[in-house]
Amino acid sequence: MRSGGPFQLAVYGKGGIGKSTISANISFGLASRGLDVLQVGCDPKHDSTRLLLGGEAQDTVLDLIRSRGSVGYDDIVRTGSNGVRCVEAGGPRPGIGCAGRGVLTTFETLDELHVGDDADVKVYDVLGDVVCGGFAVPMRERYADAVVIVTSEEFMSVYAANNIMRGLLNFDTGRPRLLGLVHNSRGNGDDGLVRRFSEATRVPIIATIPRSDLFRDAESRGHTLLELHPGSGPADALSAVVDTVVSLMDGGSGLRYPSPLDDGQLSDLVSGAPIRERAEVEVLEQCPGCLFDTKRVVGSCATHGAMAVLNRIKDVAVIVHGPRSCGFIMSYAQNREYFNGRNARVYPTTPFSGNVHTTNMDDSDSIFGGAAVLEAKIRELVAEGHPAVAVVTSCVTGIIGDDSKEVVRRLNAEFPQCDIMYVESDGSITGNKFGGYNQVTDALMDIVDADVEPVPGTVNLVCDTFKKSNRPDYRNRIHDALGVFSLGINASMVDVCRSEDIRNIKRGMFNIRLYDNEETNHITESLASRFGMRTLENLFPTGTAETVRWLDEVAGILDLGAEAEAAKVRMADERESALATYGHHFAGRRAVVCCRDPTNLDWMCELMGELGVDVTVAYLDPVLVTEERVHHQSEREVVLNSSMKVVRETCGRERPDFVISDYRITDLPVPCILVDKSKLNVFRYANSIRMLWLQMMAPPTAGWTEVDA
Amino acid sequence: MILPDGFTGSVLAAESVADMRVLLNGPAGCRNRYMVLVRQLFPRGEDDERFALPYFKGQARVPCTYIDEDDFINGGGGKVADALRVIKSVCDDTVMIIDTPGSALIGDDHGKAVSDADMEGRAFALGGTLISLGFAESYDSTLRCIVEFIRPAELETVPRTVNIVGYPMTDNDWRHGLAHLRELLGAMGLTVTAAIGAGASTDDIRASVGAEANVVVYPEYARELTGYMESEYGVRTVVSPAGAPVGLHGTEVWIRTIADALGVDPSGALAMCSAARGAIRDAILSDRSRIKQLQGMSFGVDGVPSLAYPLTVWLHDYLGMVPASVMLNPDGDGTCRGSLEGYLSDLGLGSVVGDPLPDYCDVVLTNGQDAMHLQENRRCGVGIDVAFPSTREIVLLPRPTIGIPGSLMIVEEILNSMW
Repeated sequence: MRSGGPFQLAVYGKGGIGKSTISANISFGLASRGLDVLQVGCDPKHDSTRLLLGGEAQDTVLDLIRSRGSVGYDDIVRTGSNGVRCVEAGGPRPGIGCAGRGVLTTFETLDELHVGDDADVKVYDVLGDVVCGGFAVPMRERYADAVVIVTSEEFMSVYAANNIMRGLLNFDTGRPRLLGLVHNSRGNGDDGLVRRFSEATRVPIIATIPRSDLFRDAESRGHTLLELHPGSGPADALSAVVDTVVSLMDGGSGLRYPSPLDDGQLSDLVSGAPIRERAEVEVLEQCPGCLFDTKRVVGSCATHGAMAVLNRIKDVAVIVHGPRSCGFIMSYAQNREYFNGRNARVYPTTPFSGNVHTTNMDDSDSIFGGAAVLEAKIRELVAEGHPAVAVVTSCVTGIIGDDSKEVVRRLNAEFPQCDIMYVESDGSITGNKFGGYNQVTDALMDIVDADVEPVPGTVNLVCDTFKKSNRPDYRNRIHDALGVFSLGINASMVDVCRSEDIRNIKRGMFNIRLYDNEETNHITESLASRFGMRTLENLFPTGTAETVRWLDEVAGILDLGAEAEAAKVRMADERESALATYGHHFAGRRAVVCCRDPTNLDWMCELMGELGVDVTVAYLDPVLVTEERVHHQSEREVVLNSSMKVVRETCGRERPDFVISDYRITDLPVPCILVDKSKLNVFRYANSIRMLWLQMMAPPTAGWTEVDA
Repeated sequence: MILPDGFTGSVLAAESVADMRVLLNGPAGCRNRYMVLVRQLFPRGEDDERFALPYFKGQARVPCTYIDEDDFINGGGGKVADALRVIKSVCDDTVMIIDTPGSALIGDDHGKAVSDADMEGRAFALGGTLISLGFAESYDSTLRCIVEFIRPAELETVPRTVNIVGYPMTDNDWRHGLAHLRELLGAMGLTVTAAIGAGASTDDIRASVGAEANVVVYPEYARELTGYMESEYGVRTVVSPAGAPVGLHGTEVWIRTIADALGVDPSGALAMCSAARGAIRDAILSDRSRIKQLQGMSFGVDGVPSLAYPLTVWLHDYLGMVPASVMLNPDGDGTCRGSLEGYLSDLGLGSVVGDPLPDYCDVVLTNGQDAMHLQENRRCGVGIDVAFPSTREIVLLPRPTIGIPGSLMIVEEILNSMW
């Protein structure tokens, strides 16, 4: 064994250029010099070692891993002519899976099994274009002491060689590693292009292999040309490459940095024009434009958003098409939310019955594609009798380009008894969690029964998440408001429910939005465009003015004006009575109002007015504010800033009696009343303001925050 | 409940080292939930305001490269190097770079990123095909990689010192559990040098090679690590034939095995077990109706074999209950699996291994989420949370699964479920 570990030679070149033939001949030639050689084929077509094995194809590392789960040294290494040890990485069929990941896995397996650690030379035969990080692995410092690029006189071959040089510069290790070009002549008599390319890139042609029928003869007999036709012209040229490698191994020089051509120079090269001055070739030491950028960071992933909705539908079996950890972490997070929510009385019941599944994609599926495991899982769930199955894709399936949609389409046709939904969320590739959320609600529209007729006296509630609106105090508000018109709830989209509830959503006479956000509006817009369903213009109301408007709108639709007027009177009586009891706690005080949700601003300011509190200043988070969304009706100036620092400074300066806010603000010198829409029920005004007063009485700091307490 | 795979195992194993930090090379969707999970399992009291930096986004644990669509196509190696520089600027932790399953397909060169960030010796990337490994296997393997990366200098063996291994921080209430194991070992005159995988720091790991033995809690989580430490540093491995110290019988066998292997006196630790047996007996006897109900109550167990084996033996032999379903985690310990199958077979109950739960079972011992789910859906009288993921996120009073407190907790849950 060579001291310092094996010498590693990577042979790159465009696919079909003959690099496997040349690699096998180099390996044979090196072994003929008494060196212990390992050849590793890194091309999915896995024919690199065939000429060293008497024309036989050997089992590939990836096929063996796929079939057996794990492999040993003897499984993957075969010994060929001249004692050359042979390994084939293998890979997926074209258009399926991720061949680059296959190369990565092969190298990890070789490392793990110490394959060739005791060899003198390792020769890597690598697919031509450096198309992704996987194929660049053999270029990395750990794996390549020297690189040879095989090219012919055809332009695409030279183009690929140029790209390989660029890739090599991107993996610069601080020392040159390119040995030279091997010109594998196609025999058209014009070697000018390769010569000019060599001169322009300052990379020598270390050998020109002439076109010869001897190659075909050797290949048809399953051997290398060097073995069957030594002393021939092509054999001499191949031996020259071997000599160059051996010389390098013996301490000779000859490695250099290439000067790859830019696009303009390539154009000159192919047209035969004088090659222009080189523009600066981009060397990606560090991609300057792709470092951390807050604006591009999404808070969560689309798969998570999709799961957040689907988990609430009890009888939909959900398949996370991805690795087990993806399925685990998604279901874990959702379960955690529901169990915690149960404790907080947000959810009346756990929403699911163990209905989250995963295709358990492993490394093998990433390489060879996951369509088969997806199909098997869908068939299994359909056989179990689930009325609906939803397939949610993950990053991994997105990257390898699985055609999951086709699988779903085919099985939907085969199993009409089961609704198989397809949610192409693709993890973070195609968007954030809201994107995934909307994709699911779009998919759910497909199961709505368009023929269902509205049932008088029932309405639908629509919200992106019922987290807050399921709290008992919020539920009381809904109950009280709907009770004015004796309305019941047909469906809550999408709260904990069954698929049947979604199917029958048209039973509701109209929809009521609980929050004003993109996801909620996406649902109501879809229901309108697909099924002509009406949604109230007014959001479910908070505070006096909103409630009056909402009562008028509903009364207009149902022709129940008398009920609305009676409710308004009750509201006013309730408010008057409440202020008589608790109003003195607030009257004459000064407050700062802070909102992150712009739909909270009006009712919070209105409430302060009703309580006789003077609003010193109102702050509003500028992120969610668009002109249409600011409905502030008071004449007071609203400052578009919700920074806690600014609020603290204002409190320090203005000394209000309290801050009322819809987000938690810490370290304030005055009490902070934290509110959301659930806190104010105009039909139970006394209870609401009593709770606000109690919040105002909370100590501004807690003892536990003092370190030594 | 979908069980986690090797990716989760690796992230949590690396984060179990007190002064190690995982840099997740992947998108935000992966980071958020691991960040929450790590904080919950191993709260370190870090001040998040210090981490209002790129790649941290105001959250101390599991910084992330936040790769996006462009990075999936063009590579995100620049972000890895940049993130390492940011981490270096804010803490001295050792950093393990872990690719998410999606980003592992890109093939970024992390060796180069480490070098570019001038972090050699302080940062390294975990290779391998994590999603093909089981959770326990990967937790174990990652710890072995960490020890290998740290390369502790050889030390003289310090008599009467041991390391606790195979005790992952995913085990319920692991911090109280660890304190309890230290107490039991202390009662035998043994001092714990390091709990590798349960809060040990890199310095603890350096010192761990001087311990007399690695005492194993769950063998599934320590096979590779103990093999490595035996071959490289000559640290012996002590594994109980009864599996983990779960249930009083399992705990007693664990104590005796260690005492025999290290030549120490187990009587102090065994006396603690005896006291617990007395307390359990008193509790059962306190209500005659319970005595009648307990005998023959059905139970189901779902977990790794080294948990399921001692639990099954103890619940059957000591409490007189009958196993209705024993589901074994596939990446579990082969020895315990065989012992459990043999034990049940001898009882004529071999068929319950792998048999799903019946429509209703009196007691189910499983991970917290499944336990709660089964109980809520009236599939069992009581679902006892004995494994990850637990639903007890905040634990102030000791409620570990292992040892004496675990045994008392289990009996308490069973007895309180009766009426």
